[in-house]
Amino acid sequence: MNWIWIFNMATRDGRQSLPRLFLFTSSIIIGIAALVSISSFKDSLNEKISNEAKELLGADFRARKYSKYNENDLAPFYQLASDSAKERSFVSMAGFKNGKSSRLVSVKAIEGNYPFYGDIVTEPASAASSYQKLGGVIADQSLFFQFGLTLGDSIKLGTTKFELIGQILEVSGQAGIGSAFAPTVYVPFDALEQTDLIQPGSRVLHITYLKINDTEKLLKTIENEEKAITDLGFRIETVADRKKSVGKSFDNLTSFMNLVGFIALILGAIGVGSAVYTYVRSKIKEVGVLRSLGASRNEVFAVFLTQIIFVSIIGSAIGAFLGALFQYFLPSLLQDFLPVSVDFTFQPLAIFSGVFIGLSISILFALIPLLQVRNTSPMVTLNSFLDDPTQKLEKSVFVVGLLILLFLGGFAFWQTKSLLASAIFICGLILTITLLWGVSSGLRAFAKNIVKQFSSFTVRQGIANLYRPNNFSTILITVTGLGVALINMIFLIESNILNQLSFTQTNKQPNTILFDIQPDQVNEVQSFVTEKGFPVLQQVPIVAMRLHSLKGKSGFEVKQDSTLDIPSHVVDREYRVTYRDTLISSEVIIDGSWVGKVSLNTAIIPVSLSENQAKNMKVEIGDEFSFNVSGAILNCKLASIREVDYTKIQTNFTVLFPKGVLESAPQNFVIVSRVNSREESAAFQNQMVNKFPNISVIDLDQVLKTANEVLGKISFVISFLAMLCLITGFLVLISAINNTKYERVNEGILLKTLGAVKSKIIVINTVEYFLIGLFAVLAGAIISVGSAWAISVFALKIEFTLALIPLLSISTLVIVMITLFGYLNALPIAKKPSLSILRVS
Amino acid sequence: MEAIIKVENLGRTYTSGGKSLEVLKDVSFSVEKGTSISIVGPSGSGKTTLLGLCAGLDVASHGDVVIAGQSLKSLNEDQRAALRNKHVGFVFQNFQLIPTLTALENVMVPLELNRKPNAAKIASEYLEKVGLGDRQTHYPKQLSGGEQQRVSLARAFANKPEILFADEPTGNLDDETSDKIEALLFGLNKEEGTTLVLVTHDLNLAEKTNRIIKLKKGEIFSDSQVNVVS
Repeated sequence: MNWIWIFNMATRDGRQSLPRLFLFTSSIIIGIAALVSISSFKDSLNEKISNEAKELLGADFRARKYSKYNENDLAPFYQLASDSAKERSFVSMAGFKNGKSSRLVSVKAIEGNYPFYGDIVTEPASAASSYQKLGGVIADQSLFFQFGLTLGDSIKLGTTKFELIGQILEVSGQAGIGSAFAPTVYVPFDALEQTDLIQPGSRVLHITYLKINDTEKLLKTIENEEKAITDLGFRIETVADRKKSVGKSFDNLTSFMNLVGFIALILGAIGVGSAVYTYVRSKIKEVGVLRSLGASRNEVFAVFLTQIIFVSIIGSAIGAFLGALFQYFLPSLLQDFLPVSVDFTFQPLAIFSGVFIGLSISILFALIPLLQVRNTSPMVTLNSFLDDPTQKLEKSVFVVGLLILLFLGGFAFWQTKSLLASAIFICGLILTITLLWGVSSGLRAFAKNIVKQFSSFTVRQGIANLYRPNNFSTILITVTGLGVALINMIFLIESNILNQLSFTQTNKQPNTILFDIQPDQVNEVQSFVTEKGFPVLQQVPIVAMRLHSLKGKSGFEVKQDSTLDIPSHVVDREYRVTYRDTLISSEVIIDGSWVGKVSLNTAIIPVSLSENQAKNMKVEIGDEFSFNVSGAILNCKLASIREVDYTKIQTNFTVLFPKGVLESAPQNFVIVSRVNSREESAAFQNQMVNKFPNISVIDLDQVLKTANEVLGKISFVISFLAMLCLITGFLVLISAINNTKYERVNEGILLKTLGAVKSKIIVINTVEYFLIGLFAVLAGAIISVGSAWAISVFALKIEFTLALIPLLSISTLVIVMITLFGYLNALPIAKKPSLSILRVS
Repeated sequence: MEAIIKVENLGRTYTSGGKSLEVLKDVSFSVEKGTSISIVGPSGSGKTTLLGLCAGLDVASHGDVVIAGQSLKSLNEDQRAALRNKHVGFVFQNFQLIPTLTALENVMVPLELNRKPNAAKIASEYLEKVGLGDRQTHYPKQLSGGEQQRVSLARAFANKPEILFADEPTGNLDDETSDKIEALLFGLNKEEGTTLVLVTHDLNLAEKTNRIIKLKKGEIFSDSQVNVVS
């Protein structure tokens, strides 16, 4: 191989072709920018999590339990601590504006100097440290906005009114979105008792925070004491545990984002491949000349490969630069979900890997058409009628195809760390692209069949442009179609989830849940609800318990034995269980047989588990396990498995006991009702807060509103990423327009010579691009509706309804934009005088 | 005299749409070094196919071509390319200049492929010879048809080939320009001592070579010597 000549030739030839070649690689810029920005953000976030790991927990050690405990249980840890703090945390109703407004809040009471690391940032700044002393409360800023509160206003918690002396702006280590459903109110620890909110059976989280400087001793103590304290029902956490769990959840988030960014990159690479195909076709004569003059097949191939590598490096570098800039905006996009503030930092590894991935994928996709250069016969210099070499398939194309699959699979595995997940991703992607390709080919074939039906010359020409040789319609429809499909799918799923929640508001379903009702309050609350004219749809006893043993192994042993593959939350969580003798409408027995009643002295109690719970516990009918109910161990066996429809608004339970054994256990009650309007609901909540301050009310209207906000934020992030695919589609569109410019110019001249006026040429182009937009939207819509239906029905198990407004608005926007591209592209062709165009061509 | 090209029972059949078309049938002749020869005949007689096979651009269905003592049958695609680069020059009807390269760079291509030192200097000298010393940095689209063919001639001769194949070298030019190109072609041919194989349907041009082979329906119809007055 004559490398000097290859380099010289690539450079000289590239001088003229460079702008055109550069447009090829512009399609990958957005994908690389997405990868670089997301990876940089991920690295910055991980760095920040590492640097501020202690602030995530606020302490070195945390032990918590949903019941009171003796601090002596934690004595081995207290011995190591230089400082300690206690927290009580629970949800409750809060009254505002002298009982005129109320809502569910998360109440926290802290004794001690927690957080030891990080801060509670308040306005005014002194409020965070003075509220305990002053006997006032500090509350989330969102409450101030929602109820128009100002400092000095009062807030009623239980039977006590507190003065609002500060608004919480930020709490180290906590994400803003965490308090969306129940904004936080910090009350002085000493004042908690006087509120009367904590009643027997109330779901109160008791937490101990310790500051322990000697990490080694702490870990040693955990090793020695973990079994004992786990058996006592504690969940313990260290800085390393917290860091790991936070890091893992954000790894999942950034991996998901990276996969969407990667889709944009693949679309861009498909765009590069199709553009290189056109480039190669335009270079066939040149290849023939070089071959005639004595260049070998590999030398000619190397000339064009060098050019593609060169422009891919430029494209990748621009993408990396933009990605580094995008990183600046990502934290603000995700700020509500982040437990730490992430600053803009330069991440060389992320930039390098982004460039490497972009470059590799771009070159691999370009190789498929580029390899056809090797098929070009030097005889094309003598005979212009020779077969098009790009139609012949070079054998090495299959090797490149395999490399592409391996590369895509490798990337997906790198992100998901799961063979199955990466296989699903790759198969899903290939299936979607194949479907879009099929749909777009079908639509083109349809256009070919109906073209004769139109009498208008311009419309016929516009339609015919879709299927003539060298056109880009299939690739454009596929690439922009995928962007449309992703965005539409996200909006459709979001609107279906919200529909499902709204549905409950309009269909006589329960929409108000009262909980934490003490046994001695049940009758009074029931009468109160009925007096107000609302039905008592359900009245359910709740007993709190923890899993004590499973198939002969203690909870601790189950957690420790990774071969069992049982999630730790199965052991750690507190189960809220009910007992009854009948099944309710949301339940169906799918295995075993339902036992509704047993006698008090039954040795092994037959219980029913939900399908998911049985799966998580890895139990089958007849398997035995035991629960700890306030120190009493109840031996149970699995008698039945239920399929539970959680979308129905009623009290559904993963663990269901028969009547006869739990009646005397500590318990509280839930009452489910239905109010008819928002106004009635607000008034009812206020009356409840005034009469029964310890009872909390979940108002589905408020839940719907919050869900709307949270889903809106999540869907915004995903839509933003999906938008990258659409932008890539537009870049491919620009590249395609540029690639076919000379052919279009020639056609324009021909039509003008034959008597077509300017407006006709503009209309023909505009019609063509309108149809490309329409077909892209149709193809995308078909895929989006299909996938949104499948996800709604099979994964979310909610009813699917077709939300036409988002579908139509996005679709219209895409059609208008693509049509506009076509129109703008036609203007210079139509305006140029025929003679000058002839000379250019 | 030594034969620089030997064509033995050469045949070429194309298959298209399941049908075979025999374009060239058992053609045999040889060309002596330093001579010039024209291949003439009507359209479809197999002239261009014969030129392509002789130059090693295409592969024969049967028979063989020996160039400078080397049988083309035994060479693969890339070995034939190397042979072309070393022994063969081309002039095409539609010039076949690379549009993205300047006139100088176009002439440098075969020189650089052949790893010749001072490629730019040699190319420049040949452009001077064809009268385009002042147009070296111009791109093909900035040159007229006659100028483009002169660049093509410079490119063909710059590598000092033993054989020059010319396919209708004046086919796309007007009479006046054709005359100038013919003069340059034969002048350089004589100066460099190159063997010239010319495909044309222009009998006036053909008569300027030493020998004329007439093709008809893929076979040699006549093979005659011409008394050239130089």
